[in-house]
Amino acid sequence: MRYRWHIGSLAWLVHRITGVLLALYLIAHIFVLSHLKDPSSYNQIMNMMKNPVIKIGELMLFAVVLIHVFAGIRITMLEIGFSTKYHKQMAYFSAFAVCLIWLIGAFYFLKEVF
Amino acid sequence: MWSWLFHRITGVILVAGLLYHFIFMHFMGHDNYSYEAVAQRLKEPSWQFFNIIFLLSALYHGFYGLNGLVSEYIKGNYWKRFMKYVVFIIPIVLAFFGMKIVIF
Repeated sequence: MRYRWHIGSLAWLVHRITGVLLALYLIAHIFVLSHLKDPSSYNQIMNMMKNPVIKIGELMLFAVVLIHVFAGIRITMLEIGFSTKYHKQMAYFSAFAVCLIWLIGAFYFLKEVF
Repeated sequence: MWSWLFHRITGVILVAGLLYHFIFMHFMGHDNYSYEAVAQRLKEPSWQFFNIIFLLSALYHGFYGLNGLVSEYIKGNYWKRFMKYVVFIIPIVLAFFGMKIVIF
């Protein structure tokens, strides 16, 4: 397969890569959480969440989720009939929304530590 | 066609579910995911319902995506068949673990 690269195919690629990352994270997330049956092991993991490195990972994951979600919303809107005339505007609006929500979310994530 | 449509529908469910998941777990203070709070919530049928729908939607959506990747990128027949089994079995196993912790 060969593609001519432009902003649309870049959006597609980003959607795909973030999707794979989320699927891999989902495996770990469900597996770990479903094996914590007693308070001590659960709290041990949750205290790990306060570790700065993990916190940065969490913020990156949050960005990945937002990027994937807004890419999904954009293609869903295109497919239910929004004109492709607005394709670029929608992409720019998504990028703006992702940044805005990420900043607001990051504030709350970091509030958990401080 | 139907599997694709279901991928779309679970996507919509996940947008709503994730919004709730993030706001509740992270933005409303961290008491919401202490062991006691989680154990308490998992006793309530409405939360069990939400969690199971959320779990199954996420697994379907995620592994439908991976299934697409296997179809597109893995060339050898043997490997393709093997990976098709893998992306079919892993979500079933995870659904089992997830449902077990929600229900019991």
